Amino acid sequence: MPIGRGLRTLSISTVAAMGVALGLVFFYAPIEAEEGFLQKIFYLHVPLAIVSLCGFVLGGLMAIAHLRTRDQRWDLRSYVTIHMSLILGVVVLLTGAIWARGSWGHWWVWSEPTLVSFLIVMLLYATYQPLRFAIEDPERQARYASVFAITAGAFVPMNFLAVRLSSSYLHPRVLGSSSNLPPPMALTFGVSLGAMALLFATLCSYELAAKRTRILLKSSSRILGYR
Amino acid sequence: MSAVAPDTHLPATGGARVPPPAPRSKPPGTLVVVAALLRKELLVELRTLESVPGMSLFAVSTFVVFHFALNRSSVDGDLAAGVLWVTLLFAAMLGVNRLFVADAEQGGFDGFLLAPVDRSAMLAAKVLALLAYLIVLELVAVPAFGLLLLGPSLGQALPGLLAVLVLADIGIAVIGTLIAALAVRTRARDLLGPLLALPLLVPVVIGGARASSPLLSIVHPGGLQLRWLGTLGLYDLVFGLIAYAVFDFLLED
Amino acid sequence: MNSLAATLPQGTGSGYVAAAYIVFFAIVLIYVAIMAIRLSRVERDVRELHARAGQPPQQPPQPAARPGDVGEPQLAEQPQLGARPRRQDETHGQTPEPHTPVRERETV
Repeated sequence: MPIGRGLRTLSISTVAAMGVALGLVFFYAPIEAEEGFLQKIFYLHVPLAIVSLCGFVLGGLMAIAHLRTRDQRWDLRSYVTIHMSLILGVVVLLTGAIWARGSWGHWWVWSEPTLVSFLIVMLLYATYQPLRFAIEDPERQARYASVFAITAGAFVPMNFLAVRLSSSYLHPRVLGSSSNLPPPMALTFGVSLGAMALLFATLCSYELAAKRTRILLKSSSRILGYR
Repeated sequence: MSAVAPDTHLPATGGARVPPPAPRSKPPGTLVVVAALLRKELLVELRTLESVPGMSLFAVSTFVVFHFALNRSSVDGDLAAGVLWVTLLFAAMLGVNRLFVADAEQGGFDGFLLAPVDRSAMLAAKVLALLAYLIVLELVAVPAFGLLLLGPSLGQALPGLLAVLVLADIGIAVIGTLIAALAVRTRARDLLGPLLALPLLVPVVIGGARASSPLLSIVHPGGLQLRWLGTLGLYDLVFGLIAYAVFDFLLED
Repeated sequence: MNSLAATLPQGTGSGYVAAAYIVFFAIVLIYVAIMAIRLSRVERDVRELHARAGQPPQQPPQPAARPGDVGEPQLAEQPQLGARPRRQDETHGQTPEPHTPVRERETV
């Protein structure tokens, strides 16, 4: 597959979707009764969280493909997907903290189970790169990283279940749930989710293209005998 | 020497005796291999005593630390559950760190790989060994906890607590073995092991602590809640399957 | 513009919303900037390769076409470090094997 195929289409679609989503968030979605204007963060924070988590699970699936086919390209895709999910995950935690601060006055709340499980997931995946760097042999590195990605990918839903269960006796969800939304909000949420997913796909594609180019470059240099 | 090469090469089980297969018959069954490997593990541990006494001592010391850190003479309820589970978790990490070290340093992996046996046997044997270490750890730590820090008496909590401990131990053993195998051949293995294992074990802590808390309460004593046992059981099942599926890939080399 | 105009005077909410969106866009933009830097580096490398390809090679070219080089090359190198400083024990003194090229220019 040629490097960078479809990048332009992806980028344009992402920008368009983002524009539509932002417009909907600020000019179409109604102000929520309890939280007021602050609730608008919901359309940023929650879609990013969902996309990030799906990215982690997707990385695990790609790792399965890598172990089954031994094709290093799957390992590259898995690495990029997890890396991108980590970056978006940082944004999720930051926006979650900002939201908590606006809602509760604290920068962190334990009462929001989604945010808590997200923190745990991030702590786990933060070890992904140290793990990779601690193994020198490239083939073994890819293999061990795939084992980790599969285990961690299975962990994500398990963890959410456990944390949800544990906090059901505490305060009710304060940062808003994404169920039973009135139609205008649901539409805005859906469009935002789509925009974030497109953004994720675009960023991953760019990263993949960059990595593949570098690999080709290195191997060309080597073949030509210059390094 | 006979013309037919006898397949009498034993698995590298370091002294454990696998019944030599009959000529041209199939290699020893997996259960036999697991039993042999497990026996080796336990024998080595009994002779070197490098994991279990350390883990137990660590647990008791940690209870003392908690006494001073929390400035309390007795704990109950949520606090008791928390102290107990945190201590057990970190003591388990000590055992996890040591689990594959001997194999990595003395070529146990290579020897095992040469043998015509199912590789999952090593996983099963190591999980069972770690489980055994955890059980011995708890045989020391739980009474120590009852003696040193626990407010309510241990007696009536015990049956429920045992159920929770068993289920949680299986989870810790499975994840601990998987992570130990992953971390042992990397740099900074002692650091990476706990770093990887702790987030993965959070659901076990949640299930264990939430289940134990009503059992250890004075004010609102409660019974054993099935949902936490269910969570722990589900966790054990899911990660048991995953460990079984991916362990082979860690051993190749 | 009803919703926006009605709430801007509210004050407390809008500050946080703005902060959240700014954080989001800032991080995306930082990423784009990093990609741009990488791209310029790749461009420079390609140009250099192009220039050298026009001259006679300084050493005999290595035997071509190792199995891993045909078509899509394997990911035969460690993942890029991005913005983190290299740790000492990783690359110093590590003799570059044929399939793990030394990353001389990767510090971003």
